[in-house]
Amino acid sequence: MSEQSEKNVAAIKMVNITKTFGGVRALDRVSFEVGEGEVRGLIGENGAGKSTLMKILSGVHTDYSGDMYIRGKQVRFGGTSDSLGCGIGMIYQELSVIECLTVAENNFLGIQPVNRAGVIKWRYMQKLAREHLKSLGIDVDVNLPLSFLSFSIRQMIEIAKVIFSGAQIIIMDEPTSSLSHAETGQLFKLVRTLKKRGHTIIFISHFIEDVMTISDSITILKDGKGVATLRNVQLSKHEVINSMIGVTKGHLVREADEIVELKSPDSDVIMEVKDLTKTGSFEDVTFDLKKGEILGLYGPLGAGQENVGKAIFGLKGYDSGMILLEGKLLRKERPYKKKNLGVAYISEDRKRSLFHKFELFKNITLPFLADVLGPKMNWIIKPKKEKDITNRQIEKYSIKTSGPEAVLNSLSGGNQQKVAIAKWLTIIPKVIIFQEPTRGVDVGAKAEIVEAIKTLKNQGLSCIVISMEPETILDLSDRVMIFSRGRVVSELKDTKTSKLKILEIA
Amino acid sequence: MNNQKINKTFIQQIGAWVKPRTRILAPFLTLVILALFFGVVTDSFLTLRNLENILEQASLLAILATGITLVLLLGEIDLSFANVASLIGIIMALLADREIGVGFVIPVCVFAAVVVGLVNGYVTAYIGVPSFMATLAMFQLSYGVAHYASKAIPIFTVPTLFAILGNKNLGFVPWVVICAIVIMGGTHFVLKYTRFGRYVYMTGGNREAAKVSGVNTRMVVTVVFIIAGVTSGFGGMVGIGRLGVAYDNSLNARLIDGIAAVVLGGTSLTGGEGSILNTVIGVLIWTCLGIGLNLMNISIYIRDLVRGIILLVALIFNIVVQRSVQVEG
Repeated sequence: MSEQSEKNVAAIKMVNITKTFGGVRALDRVSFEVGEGEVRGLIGENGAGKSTLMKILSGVHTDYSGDMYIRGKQVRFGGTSDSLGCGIGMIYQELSVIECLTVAENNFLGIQPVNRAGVIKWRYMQKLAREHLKSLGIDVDVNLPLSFLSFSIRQMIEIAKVIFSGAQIIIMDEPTSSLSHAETGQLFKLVRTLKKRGHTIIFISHFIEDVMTISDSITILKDGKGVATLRNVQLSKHEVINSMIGVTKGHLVREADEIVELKSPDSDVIMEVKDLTKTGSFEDVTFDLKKGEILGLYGPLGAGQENVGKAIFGLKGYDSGMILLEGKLLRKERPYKKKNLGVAYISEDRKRSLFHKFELFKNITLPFLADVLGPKMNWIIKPKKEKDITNRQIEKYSIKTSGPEAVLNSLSGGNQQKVAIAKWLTIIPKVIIFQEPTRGVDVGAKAEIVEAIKTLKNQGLSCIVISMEPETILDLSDRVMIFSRGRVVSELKDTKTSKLKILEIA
Repeated sequence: MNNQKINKTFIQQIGAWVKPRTRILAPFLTLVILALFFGVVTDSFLTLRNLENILEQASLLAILATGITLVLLLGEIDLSFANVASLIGIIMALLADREIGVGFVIPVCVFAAVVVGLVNGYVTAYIGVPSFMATLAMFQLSYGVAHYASKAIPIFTVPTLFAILGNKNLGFVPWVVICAIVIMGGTHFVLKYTRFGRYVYMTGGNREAAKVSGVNTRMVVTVVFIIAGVTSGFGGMVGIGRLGVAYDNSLNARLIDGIAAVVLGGTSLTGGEGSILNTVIGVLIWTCLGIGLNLMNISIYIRDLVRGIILLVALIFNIVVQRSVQVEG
């Protein structure tokens, strides 16, 4: 790959890329062009098509229509190895480095230098790895196993490894979501070094500020379409967000500046969270929850709000701070004790909270199995009670199924999500925590879930809704706490706000 | 045309009945095939006397296998149960040898079995040692205690109660069969109809989800290991009663028999799927195999090899049948 002839040829040129998943159009004639040695930011809301586009570029998705050119040469990848062969490397949020191996071994993973007898040349490998990392400005002992190093260093080592294996184009998917402010700075230093060396970088992120700090220009995707590519010169955050969410025709999607009025009820406090801290995840989180209120905890990916929910229910620990329920201190107990105190938790991950091979009724009655036991022998399950409760929940939450005996797997994703909610409401808990209640469900199911949560509130239940989707937060909340990098940065109370404002604060 | 349609719906109906029951029907089919095979190649296999013999031999294994069925339903494993059975048997014989009454022997043995199960369960569930290793340590430990306590000398004193349970009949029915029916029946009832049983299946099906649903999964795991300790302990006592003599390793060889029987019965090694009914069938398969090969008069030197081959074939058959039905549906 000689460098003279390609002065004016784009590093990446994707033309009219269309990709559908089972009838749903994820990308609609998107064109995307990045110049050699450019740092390009790629932003868009959840589901806008960023990952899909990048997965086509990195050879993960091979079934699409449209044309793709790398340094002027037309390509069509049959798999990730083709894309690697063309010098494209992707860094996912979940790193692919191996923690029990040393820095040098990771750098040479799969391409270890060996002598004639097939024995690894350790000295040579260490020397080369040291030189390579030094040239990228990464200062680390190459003989240390990765498990001794921080996430940010591991991430840089993964980037270095991809460069070492010959990648010219690096795609980074949400690289700053788990990094502190200082670590983000270090990563940016590395990105600038790479740019100086002529590498092309695509930087996908939810953190608009990060994108604006590092990118030469920014491409915005929306609903599977390319909206704009803006030169990052005197650009304001407001402008970027505006074109990212823009004006939509979909009736359930809010317009960016549509005013939503927040109004919290004048009732007593039911739960208090004081100075809750977990190092590396969230710090000094303080808020209270009133009776009959929906409190929204909003933050972008990795801002810490999701771990606060887990900490309240006892799924994750915390270092300091306290949680009070009706004035009584909650100990750092495991979920089964929290459940008995009246806290319910609806997990974001259906795979990890439901039983896909089991019947519907077994899923629904599990949290409060005590309710389906016999009156005299209170350790025997009464099948009739169990079926009755399940039928009641199926009707109440309009779950589409053939009956209580149906295996959970036979239900659609949206209906499974309703099961995840219904199973916690066979009795009336005091506080319900909803973790990403609308993630991965279609528009219709989303509306039904929003309706169900509102009904609960009207019955006097206190809810905490944790989400990184501003739509969901605004649809539901009476009051909003906004998280950024593990801290509560703002409380929106009895005020008018909009999606635009929320995104700007976070 | 019309005929074909009717045929199709009939086949579909059969399919709909078979599909959810494959896990029990596949091993049942294996059992039937095996019994027919031995019935054809030997004269004495399908005689009343021999069938009674099979039932009697299967019963002891069934008692021992009850506990591991629960453990496997959780997706855990217990490698120690056979050695624990020997250990409890030795404790019983040692106490009986010192002329201590059975009214004291039983509580001591039960207590010892509970302690063993508690250690297995606590180390697995609360400390987080994989059950494979925790129970492997217990495997060694229980043999070590039995070896030390008996000084490797066989003890010929067995409480009369357990000699009767092991060898005598109640009318036509051997006591050991009654013991097996009571223990397996009780466990079946617990698994199927009680809150604890539901927790066992749910914890085995998806431990993370059970925890998120507010099930005290650690407690469930610990209690299951305690039950396994008690059933193996009881199996040990009846087993020694049957043999009439206690060695430090009398029942150790039952480890392979027990696990083979449970898995042959169709209980999944990954948890959540299976039942006591599966274990009943598995135990019968394994016992038929042993007795059938004896009756076939094959050289004793080749018997283990043949048994290994048939075990492998039966396991493959189980999986193939289950999978083919799943794909069809």
